[in-house]
Amino acid sequence: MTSAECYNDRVVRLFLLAATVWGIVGMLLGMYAAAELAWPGLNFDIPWLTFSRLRPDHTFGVIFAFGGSALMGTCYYVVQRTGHTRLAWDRLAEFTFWGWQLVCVLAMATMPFGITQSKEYAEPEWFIDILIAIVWIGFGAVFFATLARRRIRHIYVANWYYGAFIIAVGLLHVVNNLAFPVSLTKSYPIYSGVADAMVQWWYGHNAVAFFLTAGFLGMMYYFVPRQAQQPLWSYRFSIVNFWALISVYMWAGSHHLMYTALPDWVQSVGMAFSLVLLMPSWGSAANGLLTFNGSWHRLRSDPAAKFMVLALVFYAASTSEGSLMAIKTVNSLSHYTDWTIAHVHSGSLGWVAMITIGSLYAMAPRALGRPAMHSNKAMELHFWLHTAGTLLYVVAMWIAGVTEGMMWRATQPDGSLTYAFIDSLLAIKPLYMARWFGGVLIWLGMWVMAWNLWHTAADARRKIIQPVPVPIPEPVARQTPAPLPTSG
Amino acid sequence: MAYRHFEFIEKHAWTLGILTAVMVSLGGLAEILPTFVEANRVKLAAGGKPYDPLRLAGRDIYVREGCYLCHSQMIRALRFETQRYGRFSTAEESIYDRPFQWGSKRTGPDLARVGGKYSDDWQRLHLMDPRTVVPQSNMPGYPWLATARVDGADIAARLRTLRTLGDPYTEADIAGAAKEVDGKTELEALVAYLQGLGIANEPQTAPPAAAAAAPIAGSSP
Amino acid sequence: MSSGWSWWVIGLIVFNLGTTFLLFLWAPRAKVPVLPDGTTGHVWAHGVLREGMHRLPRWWIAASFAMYLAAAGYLVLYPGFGNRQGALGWTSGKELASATTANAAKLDPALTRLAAMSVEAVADDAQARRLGERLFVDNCAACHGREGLGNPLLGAPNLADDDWLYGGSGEDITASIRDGRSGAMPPWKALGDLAVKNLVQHVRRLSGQPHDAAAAAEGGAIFQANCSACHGPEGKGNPQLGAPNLTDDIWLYGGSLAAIETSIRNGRQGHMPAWNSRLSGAEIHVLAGHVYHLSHRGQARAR
Repeated sequence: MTSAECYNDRVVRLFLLAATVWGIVGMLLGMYAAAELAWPGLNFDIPWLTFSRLRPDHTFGVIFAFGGSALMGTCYYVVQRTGHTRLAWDRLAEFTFWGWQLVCVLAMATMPFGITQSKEYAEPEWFIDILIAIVWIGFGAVFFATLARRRIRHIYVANWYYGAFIIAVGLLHVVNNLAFPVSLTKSYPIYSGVADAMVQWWYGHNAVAFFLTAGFLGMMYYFVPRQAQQPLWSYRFSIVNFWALISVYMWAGSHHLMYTALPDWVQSVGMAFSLVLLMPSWGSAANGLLTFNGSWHRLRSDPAAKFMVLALVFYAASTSEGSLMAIKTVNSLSHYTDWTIAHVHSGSLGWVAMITIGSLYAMAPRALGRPAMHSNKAMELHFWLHTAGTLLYVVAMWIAGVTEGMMWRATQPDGSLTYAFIDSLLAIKPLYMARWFGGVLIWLGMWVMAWNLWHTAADARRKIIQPVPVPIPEPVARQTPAPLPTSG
Repeated sequence: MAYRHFEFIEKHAWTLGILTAVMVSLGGLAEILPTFVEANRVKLAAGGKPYDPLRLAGRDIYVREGCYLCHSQMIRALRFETQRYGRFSTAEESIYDRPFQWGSKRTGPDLARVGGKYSDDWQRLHLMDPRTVVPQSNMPGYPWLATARVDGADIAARLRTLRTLGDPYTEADIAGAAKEVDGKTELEALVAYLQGLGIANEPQTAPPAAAAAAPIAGSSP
Repeated sequence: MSSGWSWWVIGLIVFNLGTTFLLFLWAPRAKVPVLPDGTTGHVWAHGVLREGMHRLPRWWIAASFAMYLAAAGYLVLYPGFGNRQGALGWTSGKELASATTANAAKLDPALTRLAAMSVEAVADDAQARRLGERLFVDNCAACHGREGLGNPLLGAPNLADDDWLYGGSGEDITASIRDGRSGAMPPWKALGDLAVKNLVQHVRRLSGQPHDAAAAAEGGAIFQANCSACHGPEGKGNPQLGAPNLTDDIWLYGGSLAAIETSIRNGRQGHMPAWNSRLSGAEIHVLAGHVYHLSHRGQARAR
């Protein structure tokens, strides 16, 4: 039996398109910024092209524009299908799309002109922050209202994570951006010094936790079992991982401020919780990976599944690296070096980008009314470009970071420092070039994806925004494993 | 706890949402609130003052240009840091820092105590074109700072906002702000800020651990 | 932190770690209804999404225990559990102090040994050379260049030749580093355009460069009236004032017509900061030895 209602996939498709475009833009910015570090002449003395003005654009572009679009799009897709219900409030959902794009355009158009709060990952000025808050409330409203009209009583674990992502990011955003405006383009935070540092890294760390982890775990929990065509490995594992992850993560931010002027006790608490955090993180990765048990052969033919599996491996790896780097002794070496850059990129390129790409490849044909992506070969090519680029990038930055850390602390037997600061910069210059080349490979991969999506969308484009409606079937209480339907 | 409790949570969106909100708030409540209260209690030694108008203008340029993306202003309490950069940074030193500029990456060296290390001329040349003084540097040049002027009226408005937030500026400070920055270029403002780093607002009495650490950049007493 | 806040922190830590730990104890033995096919019976997304009910992996349980234990142990040993100082009495300040003391115990004998030597002798000491070079690159190279060849844009003198503005003895070098140096040549544009141009030709003549003889002769008189007080009647300079010798071909700000003209017209206020507040006396001594070495022991080099 099928209800007459159809899923609202229009807004999902819009977000899918936006994610692809922003992915290419954000990574282009990253590639250029990386090149500037290796070849400083590329700054050309042009203010808005200068590294220090461009880097926030790169991080905002990939985290909030690319990642955010992908998260909101998949969130809308997932909440409908796991509830067998149409998205609540079509108009509001559409508003969240255009609102979010406006936020991204405004933020990325103002930051290169020096309109910034300088809070990492929260650079946009107060008027953009207000707009972000409005769009976010709209996003939360659509999500929770859709949950409220779900036709399956039990809420699927993916939605727990999407919900936590929405609630926590809203909280973080508001608390961290409390500021007093001087003019349209300048404001001062209500916190200063140590308190400002604490609030910022509570935000900064949990932007990673909830934007780049919880949200993408929601994506993972839906698309991994879907692509593996297996039941999620363990429900009891989901419960313990979810509650531990969302609460413990929030304490770990102070590990960004080890040995600083932040009081010792806060640093220690951050470190202790970072150790505990390892377990729900690994648990979530394991829950995803073990779901592939019985379906490992699919990796041979399905690049989307390959992306997902590698994403989970990178997730497990970078999250254990994170706990390691939160240990005071390790942190004294790694902090302020390119090791941090390696760590965030193994998380963002390895985990976030790969799970997103895998999920887009899984979702796109269904949202576009096609049986499969246009080209399997192109997906395969993208996989290898992305993997090679990520490994090159991350390994280069690991070596660079450890080199810097070791050189800064190297001490002669007579107690004098061995190296001047500039020596460490000279030592890592070749690695900056290697990192740039890794970025180029990844960026080329994104173009391959765009090309593939363009052709997959051929039909949908022809019927311009008259996509194939996906009817919503009545929920079934129980169902034995069935071959995957091609749509939905 | 029994399974049915979880089943209840997972079947009721509101319960799930509220419990999630509670659980994600704990960390911040424990770490931010006491830090905030404690930070408000940190007082400067006698003679400490908030940034004068020119240095404040310079500081805001430092923020605008994104210097913090490559330079930290935080000498950590580690021997090899104090040996290279000088006495470790303290909470007192950044109580007027809105926003804080401790940084998270050192592509260039720490700047917490760079004030007075180089001449004004050097700072200007280095900001205009870093490779004329440090051929190996990969820092971008900021030549546009030399032609842009600091806006006096804007600076006065900034002081007023900071006073609203609790920084001790007097009415006279605000009234005189525009005159103090009159005719100054952004380059001059930024150099003034950099030349004050680690000099103004240093605590007058060294904390106990600093006494054991050598003088400044102290590899030896 | 007041004891009220301390209890607040303790309470929240215990609550959060406690609930997650209880959950962790509960999860492996929770009784959740399971269907014969091993799933929970929850079905979503057209029957595609189902949930299994596997036991938690043993390695995960073991590792979790270890992590909870490590975290609890850490909070017992180190500060963090509210106001408690931790069993080890550790603070970052104490750690720094003991590391600094330990390092000073290694470094001090060397510095004491070197402090007893003259700068000239330090210049030849292998250990001092290494110490000095690192200090030089971190502190002095920004202006004088890594090799000490100077920078005419700043008027930072070449330290690797044997020409000295303020004297090249060990003591002179030490004084320059310790107290800094400020050049103070006033601007002479008030003399008028022609006078400045003639002066330039005279200075070119002094240094033996191609010049206009007639203009130089005019300039000579102006020089005697205005410049000789610092640079001396013959233009040989004065190390007391740091007035450079104009008769050699070594230039602080460049010896081209244009550079000389700029120097005369606008004056020069080269400034070297004092290092006594930044470096210890022993470090300055070692640095002076390094600079002395650059000039006297290396191949004396022009830029």
